[in-house]
Amino acid sequence: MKLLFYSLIFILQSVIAWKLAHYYDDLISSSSNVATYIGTNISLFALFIAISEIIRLGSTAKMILKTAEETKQSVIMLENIKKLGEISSSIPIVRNHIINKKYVAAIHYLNSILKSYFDTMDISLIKDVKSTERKNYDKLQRIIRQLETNSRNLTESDIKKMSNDLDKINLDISILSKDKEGKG
Amino acid sequence: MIPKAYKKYINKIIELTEDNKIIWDIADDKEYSCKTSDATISVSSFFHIDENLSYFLFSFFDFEKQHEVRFRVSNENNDFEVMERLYTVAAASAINIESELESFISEFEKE
Repeated sequence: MKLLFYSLIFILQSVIAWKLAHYYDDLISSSSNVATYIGTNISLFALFIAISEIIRLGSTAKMILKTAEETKQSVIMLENIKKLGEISSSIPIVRNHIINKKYVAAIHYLNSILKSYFDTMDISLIKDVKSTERKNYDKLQRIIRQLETNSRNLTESDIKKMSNDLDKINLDISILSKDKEGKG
Repeated sequence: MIPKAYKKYINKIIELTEDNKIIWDIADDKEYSCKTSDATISVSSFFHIDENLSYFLFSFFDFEKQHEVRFRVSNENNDFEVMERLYTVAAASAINIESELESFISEFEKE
């Protein structure tokens, strides 16, 4: 594409030079007119160089913008990996609070995990009702709901189930985090 | 009791479920959920040992706005039957009861 553009500019310059040469044909006999003719061609050549430089600068600017965007995406991905790591390290704390029946502390941690999870995950994945990300998001919400509405009646089997669910969520997050690291 | 703001929607959800327009999933033990891309509704049942009461819990969670609204109805309340109906139709939808019963009955019809 660039080569085509340069070629067009060159052809255009040649055509203009040829036209000017015809225009100045009768004047070209005098040495001052020869100088004018040469000057015109040099100007056109300079114009060609200038246009080429503008195009080159344009593509350099595009490259810089592309690199900046890639860097921004990398920073976002690193932040997400960091947040996923924080979620992953918070889940065992929640699990221990639930096992030790410290439900208020567990709810507090779970609410902040839920928020981080929402901020970190790709929204399209959470919107996808069949995705693992959505299932885990709903599962976290369900654990909060159970703790808030019925914590005094939780049986050992309920607690074991919550604990297993949290372990499963953490495993999915670890897989996702490794996947993101691989992409990064 | 079912709060006034929810009443007509609970009946609408029951109606749409019976018409197979809303399909439920098994979310957990004694809990059924229905999801859209923006929200999840769920209905669950539990027994409160201290109060010696049965409850149905309804929840609507909008994750985009990050808010959840919920209410529960005990067996001492007049709306318990409405909630029981919601829970029953949700369970029937989630386990695809028609197909289950067809298959069950066909076992006897073979004999």
